[in-house]
Amino acid sequence: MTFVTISDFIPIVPELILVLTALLVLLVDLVGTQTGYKMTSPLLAIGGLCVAVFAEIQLFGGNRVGFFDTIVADQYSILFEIIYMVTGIITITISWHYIAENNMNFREYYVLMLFSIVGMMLMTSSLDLLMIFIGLEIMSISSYIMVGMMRRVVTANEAALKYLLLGAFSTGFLLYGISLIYGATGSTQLPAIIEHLQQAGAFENPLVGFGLALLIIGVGFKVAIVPFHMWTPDVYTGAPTPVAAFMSAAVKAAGFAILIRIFLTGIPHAERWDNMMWVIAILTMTVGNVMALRQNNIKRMLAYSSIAHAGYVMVAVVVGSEAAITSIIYYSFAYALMGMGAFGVLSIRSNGKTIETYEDLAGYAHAGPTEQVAAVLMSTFMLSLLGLPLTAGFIGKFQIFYAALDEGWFWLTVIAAMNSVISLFYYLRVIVFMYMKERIGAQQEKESQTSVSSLFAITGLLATAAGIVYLGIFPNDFVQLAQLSVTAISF
Amino acid sequence: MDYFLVLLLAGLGVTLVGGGLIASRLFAPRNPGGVKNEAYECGEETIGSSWVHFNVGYYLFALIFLIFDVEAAFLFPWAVVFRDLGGVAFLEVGIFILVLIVGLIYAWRKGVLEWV
Repeated sequence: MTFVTISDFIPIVPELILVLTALLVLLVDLVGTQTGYKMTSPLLAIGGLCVAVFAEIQLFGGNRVGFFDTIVADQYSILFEIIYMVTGIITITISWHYIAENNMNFREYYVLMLFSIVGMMLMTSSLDLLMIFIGLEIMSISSYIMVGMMRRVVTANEAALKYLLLGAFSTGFLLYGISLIYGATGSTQLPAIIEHLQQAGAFENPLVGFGLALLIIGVGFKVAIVPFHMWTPDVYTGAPTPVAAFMSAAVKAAGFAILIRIFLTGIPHAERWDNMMWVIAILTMTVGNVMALRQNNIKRMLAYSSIAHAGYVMVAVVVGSEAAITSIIYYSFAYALMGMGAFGVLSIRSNGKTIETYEDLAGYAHAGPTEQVAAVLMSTFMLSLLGLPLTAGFIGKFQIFYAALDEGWFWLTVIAAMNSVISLFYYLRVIVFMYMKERIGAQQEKESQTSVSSLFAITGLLATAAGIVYLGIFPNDFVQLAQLSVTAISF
Repeated sequence: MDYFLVLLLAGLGVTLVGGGLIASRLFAPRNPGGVKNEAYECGEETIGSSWVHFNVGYYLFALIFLIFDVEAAFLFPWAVVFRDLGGVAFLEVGIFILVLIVGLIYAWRKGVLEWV
């Protein structure tokens, strides 16, 4: 009988750093005075995330395993974990302003966000279905609370309750799927399961198909693919804007990370239900885009657009080649930055008003110095979401379409491209309203003031936009990293 | 064949319980009305609506009690095989208790332990 040794802890050093940071933030909150906490908590959290990213970089290439082969720090998990942490850092930069402006002084916010990231990291670096489940739950429970953080606001309560109930329901599906897979293969460890499934006739057992279907439903809820998307618009609209940004970026990336890990690495291609999956992909893209056209609330529009983007990623999931998995990783990062940025601009208050509808954006670009910069940033994010060249969105879509055409998915690519054209309308509408419409009732407003916290948010968003442009012009570095991580998981 | 006993047990259970209910339905006299229809051995008659706010303190106390209850459940097995597990396990339990203590300090500072 072997026991856990110190070397088992090495692959989870980044996770441990984040847990310690979270506890530290919690304690600082307890001893801090009423004025001091505002800066210390976010800065401490960012510091912890930076140290953890550094630790990940040290682990890169080591392929260390621990805890009886249930935790692995391979290139794949490390790359995704860095994506989550970068998302976390950006979220914190935009949260500080939002929290100050909306009197959301619950300092547990940063703690929950750190724990949520820890959950995603555990989920991604795990090779055991039960560990994946635990990680998923750590992530989900933290995000349920974050969604309902503003407990006096009715819409936030509604969003939190919906998310909790549907999330718990989908978790049930996931767990049931895990138990059926265990029943069919006799193991919860992914390598053993995949070895079993690759034997001839393994799929004739109805438990396998049923279990995999339930797993797809469970993960599908988290990444919001049609028909499991109904909660997304309500939750993103009701949640505090930075939380919506975090969920659309990090939680989705985490969902796709385990989707790749479970479905695309070992299950034979003939058994992946291509017919069902491409229907889901087309539905997800089309429903997302068509519904986004009809929205007047910008957060709802972004929520539907995030569904549409999950649809584009599903195209790559259908294709399932190594190039397609690379494109999923690239797209997850690119979308994390774009979605994050778009929600981030919305979280900045303009003239003491929160931006909700398109009308609120009218004349935004001319409202003041902060707004001028924010409008440029928002345009960058919109163009990237649209997929214009020189942005990360273009390279991401290009890679997905290229991988799909390469494997002969001609019509799927055509439909995805057509969807991309539909999205032109609602993304450009934002830019049109910001630059070309007159501000309603501009005379009554006083000159807008630039606060320190909004500068902090703008700085974070500037870095995000710079990242998008960098990834759009020099995609090679990241694509090579993604290819490296794909080779790490294809067994 | 192994499951025959289970089936037998299940059948026996259903027969006993169901038989009792059916027998009382058939043979017991029934005269409802008056005092017999009041809440009986199930609590008092409510005064006013039962949909009122009540102190959430009970819940928080129960939650904190539960956490330390679970802690004890984890510590006992560890203490039994303490010598075999060695230093790393000691470290792990230390981390576990540390996390719980931070939680307790948090609850304490937030005023959960004071009965309002």
